This record gives sequence, structure tokens and C-alpha cells, in this order.
Amino acid sequence: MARPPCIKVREMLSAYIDGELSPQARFSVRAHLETCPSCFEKMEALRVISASVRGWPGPELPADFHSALTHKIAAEASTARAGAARVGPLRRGPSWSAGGLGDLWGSLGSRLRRFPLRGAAVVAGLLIFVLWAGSFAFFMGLPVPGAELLGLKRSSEPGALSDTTSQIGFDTNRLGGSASPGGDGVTSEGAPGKDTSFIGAGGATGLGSLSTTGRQVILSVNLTVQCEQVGQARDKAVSAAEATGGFVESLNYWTDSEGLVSASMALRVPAASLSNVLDQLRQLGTVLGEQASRADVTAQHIDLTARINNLRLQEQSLLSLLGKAQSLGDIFAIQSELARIRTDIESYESQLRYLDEQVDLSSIYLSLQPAGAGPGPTSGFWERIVDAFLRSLRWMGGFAEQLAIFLAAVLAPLAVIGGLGWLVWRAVQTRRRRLGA
Amino acid sequence: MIDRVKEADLVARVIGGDGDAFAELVEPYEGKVYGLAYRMCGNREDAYDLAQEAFLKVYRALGRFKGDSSFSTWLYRVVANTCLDQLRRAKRSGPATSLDGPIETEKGGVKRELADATFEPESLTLRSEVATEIRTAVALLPPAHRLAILLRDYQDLPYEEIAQAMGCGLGTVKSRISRARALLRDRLVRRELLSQAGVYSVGPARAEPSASVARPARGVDA
Repeated sequence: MARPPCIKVREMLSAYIDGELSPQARFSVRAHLETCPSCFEKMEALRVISASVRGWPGPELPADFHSALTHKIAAEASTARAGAARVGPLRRGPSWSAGGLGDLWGSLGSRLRRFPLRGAAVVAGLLIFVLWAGSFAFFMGLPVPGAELLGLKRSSEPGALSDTTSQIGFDTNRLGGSASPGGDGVTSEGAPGKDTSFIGAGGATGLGSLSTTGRQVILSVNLTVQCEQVGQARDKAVSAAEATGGFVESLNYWTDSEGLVSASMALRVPAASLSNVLDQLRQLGTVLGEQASRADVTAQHIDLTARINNLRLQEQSLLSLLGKAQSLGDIFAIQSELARIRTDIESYESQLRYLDEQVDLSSIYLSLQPAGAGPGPTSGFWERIVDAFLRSLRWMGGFAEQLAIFLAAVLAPLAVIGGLGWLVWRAVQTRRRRLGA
Repeated sequence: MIDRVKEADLVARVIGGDGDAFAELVEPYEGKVYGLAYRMCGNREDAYDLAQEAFLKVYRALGRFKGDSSFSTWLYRVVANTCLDQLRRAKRSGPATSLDGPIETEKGGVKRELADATFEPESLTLRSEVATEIRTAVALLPPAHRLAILLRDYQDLPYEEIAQAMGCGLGTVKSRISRARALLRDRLVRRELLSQAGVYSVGPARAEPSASVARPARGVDA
């Protein structure tokens, strides 16, 4: 029945009765309707429907509607006045300049509210980026020399860029035997009085005489020396320590980002020769810093010794009891008590040995810095300003470089994430459009 | 209806913090918006809340009204979004409670409507049955379609303004309204109300297109 023109006409009937067709389309539909009763009937049906919706009776507007609304608006308006531009129509959407930060925040808020998904995606993306960049920068070591960018202070090794700190060694040469000259633990009883005149008169520390007469004192010194040849200085320091019967406890030796070599080491030297060794170390170059500390462990020492003596007495009496023991149960009980006491004695003795070793062998933490590093203490005001500026430029260059590397590294995953995000966004938009929102 | 100049003046006053101006600005729309809300959600309480919320949103968002469309179009856009949001939320939180309930309670209203219509007295009962069925069917339409047909037939907006209010294209509006009416017609046919409705006996609801159309001399076509 439905001839081809009917199908086409019927699609237009709805718009026809609304008067929304173009003049030509309206004319052709009207012409068709005059000849096609079927289509005419359908048109009439649509009109009935339209009229029915039009005449749909609804309830009267409740009497209190207007007053309730006015009331709410008044409340809203006063909140708006109180809380700046957060609420109320004072908020001007896209015109950012209108009302300062409050406005901007409000507008941003409303944007986020309108596109909650997009807002969340942006925030999440930023967060991921920051975390990513942060960890990346951390592992790459951010303050990288961008010297090449500026042609300043070229690093000696062109290849050495970011993977800088090449650790050369971490040896623990224990040289001079395990120290404790006292031999069998307990003998330090009666306090042999490790007399150490500390550091000596020429000490640059200003700590004066740290004389330790008659007392058990642990001495340690932090020394920072700047020298021309770190390698040679390091060897000299090691041999100075070893010559006195000391040893190198640990040693680090590395090349920094600018190709300069630094070293740090922990030396243990007999307390008696500490000042001697320190004098030698100070000769290695310019002393940048020196801190000495002393920890008085006399009380601890006495305490430990007393406990050990006490336990020894208990051990003796238990042994004599053991000789007189009658029953097997007594023997077991005494022996288990003896075992406990001996364990305690061993524990205290090892603590005492450790203390003695600390007292006998002073620690020197030596840091050797290359002459080129850092602003010399003598550089003038302008030089320091220029230096700081150049350093910040270098830092920025390095940062840009790192950023470029980072971006290259994350390009692929970002592309994937971006693609997925775009797909999701499009799906949401399509759905929105379909829902007609 | 307020003219554009006065409207713009009122909008400016509201943005300036004048709450009374807002009341004056929206008062002419209150009845229509409430009516639309009632037809969208099907009961008075929800309609009341919805309409109030819509006007509050209008108030809050007034700062974004830039005057490039008429205030009424912009207002209907906010109202439309509020309605659709509300219906979406209601759908999520559970099935709507008796969509056709209120329609049955409107018998008196139906009669009143018919009394001032131009229909012949003998078709009254039939018409009333058809009308009730149509309104029930409207309540069952998808929200976007329901909104489109209500904006068209209840609010009497032209397609162009419906498109702006619903934030979609003209073609979408056209197809939504057409589709909505087709769904309603199908329902009437299924209920065998359409043939009884005596469409030929019903006078034209709108004068413009049909006034000049001569009715073809034919009987009822299946």
C-alpha cells in the first residue's frame, strides 16, 4: 500500500503538522496528502496525539511556589554575599578576569562539575605524570650538567652525562688485626688508663686539648680536605693510617658528574697516634672542615667490669656447689644456672671488648674533595652571583635534557593511555548526546 | 512575557545581587516550568521539587547567561537538563512509582480540558479515553523523547529553540519528536483506540497546515 512517496511523506508528517518543513517540502507533502487518504489519516492521527499532549491538564501552580522560591533565592543571595563568589549568580563563567581567584575557582568548580569525568581524568593524568617524572628524575639524578648547552666548563669526560657516580670501590681492608690489645677480655680490670692527649696543640678544631687522662674516651674526627690530586691524597691517607698500626675501615671513591674525583674513607688509628695522623692528613690540602667528638664511656666500662666480676663470683660458688651435689636433679639445676651465667658473662665481655676497641682505636672520617668542586671560599661577591646564575642555568639545561629524555621514554605509554582516554571520553560524549543531556 | 530589553535589565540586576529582580524575571515562567516538571516526572511533589531546583540552578548559573539566546531558551535549557538529570537519578535509584497514577486521578481535569476544546460533545468520552491513553504513553516514553515532545506540544517551542534547550541538533529534535509521536500512535493502534478515535471527526488542532488541505474522499484505510 505504502508507495515510495508515502514512506518519504510519513517521515515528514510530524514536522509538517508542526509547521517546521521548508516551503517546498510543505508544498509537496500537502500535494501528496490531497491524493493519499492513508497518509492523510496518519497525519490526522498525529494531530490528535499532538492536541492531546497540548491539552494535557496539569495541576495548578501551588500557591506557595513563588514565595518558597523567593525565600530560597534570598537565602542563596546572602550566602553568596557572605562567601564571596562561591555561590550565586555573581560567578561569571568563562570571563576569568571578572572577579579574581574566587571567581576562577568557582568557574573551575562548575566546569569540573559539568564534566566530572574529564576533570577526574585530567587530575589523574597530572598525578601520574608528576609521580612518574619524580621517580624518573630521582633515578636519573636530576641536577645534571647542562654545561654543554652553554659551552661553559665542559666536563672532562664527554660521555659522562647522567649515570655519574661510578663507584670505584668499597673495600673494607681490615689491616691491623682485631685490635683489643688487652687480650682476654677481663683483663682491662683495674683500668689501664688509656691516656691519650687528643689531637694536639696544632689542632685546627679549636676544641683545645681533649685530654683523656685516666678515662675511657672514644674519639672520632670528621675531616674534610680539598686537594688537587684526590687519588694521591687518598693513598697518602691510607698509608699514614697504616703506618701507625691503624687500618682503613671503608673507602669510597667516585667520579662526579663533572668528571671530578672525590673520595671518602673511614680510618681507624690507635688513639695514641690520632693527633699524629691528623697532622699528616691536614697536610694533604686545604682543610675545609673539621669536627671532633669525644664520648666518655668510663662509667659504662666500670659498670660492665663490675657485672662481669659479679658473675664470675657466682660462677665460682656454683662450681663449688656442683662438687657437693647429691642428686641428679641438683646437678642439672646447677648446670643450667651455670650455662645461663656463662652466656651472660660472654655477652658482657664482648661488649667490653667492643668498648675497648673503640677507645683504643679512634675513628677518622676523611672526605677528600677535588679542588675544582664548589665555589672556593675566597671567591668574591660577584663571582658567587655569577657562579650561582651559571649553576642555575646548567641545572635548567640539565632539567630540559632530562625532560626530553623522559618524554621520549614515556611517549609510547602516554600515546596508549591517551588513546584509551580519548575512546572513553568519546563514548561518554556519545552516551550523553544520546540521553539528550 | 517580558520583552528582551527588560529581561536583559533584570538579568543584570540579578547578577548585581538583586534577589527581587530574579523573582520578577522568572515569575512568568513558573507555571510553565512547573507544568513541564509535572509532565516529566508524573507527580506533584517531585514536580514541585524539580521546578524549585531548576529555578535555583537558573539563579546560580545566571552569571553564565551571555544573552546570545533569549532568556527563555536558556532557561528551558537549564530546566531540561535538570529534568533529565533528575529522571536519570530516579531511574538509578529504582523504578519510578506509578507513572500513570496521577493521570488517572485527573479525570476532572480531562473533562475541563475537553469542555473548552472545539470538539463535538458526542465524541467527548472517546476523546477522553484516547487522551488518557496518550498521556499514559507519554509517561512511558524515553526521557529525551518525552522532553522533546513536551517542549513542542506543551511548551509550544519551535524546533530551533528545542534544539538549543536540549543541546542537540535540529535533525535530532525532528527525529525525536517524530519518533515519540510514532510510539504514541503505535500504542493507540495496539489498544485499538486509533480506529475508534474517529480521527476524521476531530477538528484540526493547529490551523496552519491543514486549513487548506482538502480531505480526500475516502473511507478508513487499514
